Amino acid sequence: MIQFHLDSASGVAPYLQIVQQVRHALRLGLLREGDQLPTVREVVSTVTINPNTVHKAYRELEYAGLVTPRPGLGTFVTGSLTGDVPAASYVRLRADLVRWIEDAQRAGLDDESVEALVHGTLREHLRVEP
Amino acid sequence: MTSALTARGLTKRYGRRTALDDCTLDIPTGRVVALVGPNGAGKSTLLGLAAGLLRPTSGEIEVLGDAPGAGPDQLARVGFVAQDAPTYANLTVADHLELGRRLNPRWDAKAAERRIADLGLDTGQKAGRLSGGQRAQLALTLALAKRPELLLLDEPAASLDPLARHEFLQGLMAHVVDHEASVVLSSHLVSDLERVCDHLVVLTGSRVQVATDIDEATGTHYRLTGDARDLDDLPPGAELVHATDNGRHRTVVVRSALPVVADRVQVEQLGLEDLVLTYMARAATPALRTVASPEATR
Amino acid sequence: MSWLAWRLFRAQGYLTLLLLACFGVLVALTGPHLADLYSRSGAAACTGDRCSELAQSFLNGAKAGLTGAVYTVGMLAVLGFPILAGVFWGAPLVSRELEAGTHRVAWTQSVTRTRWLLPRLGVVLGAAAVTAALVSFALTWWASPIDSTQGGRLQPGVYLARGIVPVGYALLAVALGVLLGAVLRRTVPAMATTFAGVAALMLTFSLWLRPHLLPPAHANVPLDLSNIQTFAETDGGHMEVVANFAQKGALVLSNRTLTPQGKLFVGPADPTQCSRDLPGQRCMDWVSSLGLRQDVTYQPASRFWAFQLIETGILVAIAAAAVALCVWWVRRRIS
Repeated sequence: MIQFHLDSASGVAPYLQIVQQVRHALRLGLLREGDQLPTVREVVSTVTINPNTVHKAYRELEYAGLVTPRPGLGTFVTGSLTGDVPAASYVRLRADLVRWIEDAQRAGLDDESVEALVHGTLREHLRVEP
Repeated sequence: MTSALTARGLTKRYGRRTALDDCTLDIPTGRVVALVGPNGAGKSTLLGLAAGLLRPTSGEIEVLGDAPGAGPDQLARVGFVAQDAPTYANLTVADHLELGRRLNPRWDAKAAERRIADLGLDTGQKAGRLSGGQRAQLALTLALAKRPELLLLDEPAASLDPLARHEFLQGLMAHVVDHEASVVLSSHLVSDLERVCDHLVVLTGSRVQVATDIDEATGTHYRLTGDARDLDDLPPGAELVHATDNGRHRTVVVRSALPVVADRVQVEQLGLEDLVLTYMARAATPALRTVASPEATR
Repeated sequence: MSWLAWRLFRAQGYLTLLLLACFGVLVALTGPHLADLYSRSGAAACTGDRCSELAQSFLNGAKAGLTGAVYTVGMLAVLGFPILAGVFWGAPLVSRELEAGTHRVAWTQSVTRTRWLLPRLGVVLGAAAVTAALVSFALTWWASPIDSTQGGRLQPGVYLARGIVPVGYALLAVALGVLLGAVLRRTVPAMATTFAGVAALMLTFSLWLRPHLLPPAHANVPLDLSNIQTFAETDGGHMEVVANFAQKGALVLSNRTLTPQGKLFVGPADPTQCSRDLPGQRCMDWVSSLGLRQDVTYQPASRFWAFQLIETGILVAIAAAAVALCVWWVRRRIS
């Protein structure tokens, strides 16, 4: 079952962090259709968070068509974000990424430079803030 | 029952000193309320009035639809922990649990004992020999095991170390889920409050400055920074909260129902901590220029 | 709530039980010995002239040694207990809670302030009454030989340490202490004012109120110079002659020597009978020939229990008023 964590210093509202973590897990295939999200009670006992925040996050995911609440049973994943991209592609791309990072390190870049290069390139090429 | 706490024109004076001045509040049930403000702003007074320990000088206050301390039924629905978590120095931890059991019809003895065991408190230890943090935990246990619908906590985590504070807040959230309780929690540590609270009341100078859901508060407060000349006129519909000048550079915090968009100045939305700090800074510097745009005064 | 009321009083309760037990043992051990002393002295069955000598010798024996020590301890215990109860059981009851802030715990459980206060009052008032009764009755029983010999149970020093009046003062002291603690909110000032208040009440009753609780009795008898209290003559011939009142154990309110015409006797002294160079007996004989009368208002010793009942009744009534005021104060005025 997915474990949430909150970063107080990130400046992102707590409920959004939950939403993002669910979306992230869906993208990476860590959450699949039919999986159950933790109950509000379970989330509250692992993360110090207001239960209303969890409700709000789950509602937002429901409006996005990604989860469905089943009264008495829990909240279940009913959508997906991987789209038509097969899981194998994700595995391959991830491996390519790891190879590139090792390459950059061999070329002499330190960790900060690697991150800056990645972020800068992402910003130029995508309209999404990583 | 839709209102946890309602106050109208609530005022409390001690002789010539005004502790609370004309406060009007309407806090819905099911909220975890952050009550913030500088020392002496009236937080403890407000909580004391809500708990029935104090009587208003004028104005009214209602808690869960009834006057505070109106009778045993009303008292049973409200849990209160005072600042410094007072306990009976000569009574043991076990005695305190017995006290809770005997004086509260809805007492959950098993939950209380479990919580004490989890906290590692020695039931035979006299409360006077406990550390400040342990006393706070004992006082909180008394309030939680009573199973109230509304919890009033006056700086409950002040004497707890970070881990204990975290565990206390977690226990509090579990209680909120299990009992659909409302909480009013006064604290200086705003960073804790952001995760745990969803409603904000800011008290400065004995008056209520802000009383709304946190999302609404953070969504309607903006910080504009730029050249002083560009900030002489505020965006339409924006209400000035606080302004600071540094030579030609000015920082202005405004509250606006409409999204604020401005060119030539930097616009950011305020987080909870910065929002609270702004109001507290405003209270500390009473002489400030209140510059409002012509549209705003319409 | 009664559990909490007892739990908070527990330590003091056990200590008091211990002290009571010690006192009880002392009284039980020495009581028979004192009674024995009394019967052997012959002072009990005495009639006639030697009685005062026998009485005095018995009293000397009784007030010496172990019995003397027990008498002193007993007197101090019964006289002092009401004040101690008020100061240590009454004054801190509410004030200590207010000082420590524990009232913020007590008054936010599921009981109202009244339901919190009444059992706590009940425990301390009950303990005070029971302790005072036990100690007082023990001493009253134990000291009955001494009292019979001295005859004076109406004298304030003795009266306050006998019978049921100590119970009345104990109840009043505790009620007053709790009230003062609630009003002053600080334990030490409450203790001090309770001490002063109870002491003042005891003094007020003894000096001014008690003698008038019942209409005093009157006696007008021929002056008996064999039992002289004062026999004085000043240079101007002014005389003051007062005799002791013969009735044993009476509380004398006024004792005047009157002329046969009913006026206060002030002389003047007959210089032929009363002067420095003449024997004093001659002056005395002259005075007794004048037909003077002794006019006394007094309370007879037989009224001891009547006074005890009346005074205790008044004290209990005042205590009840203090309790009512205290409950009202805690409910409405502590905020």
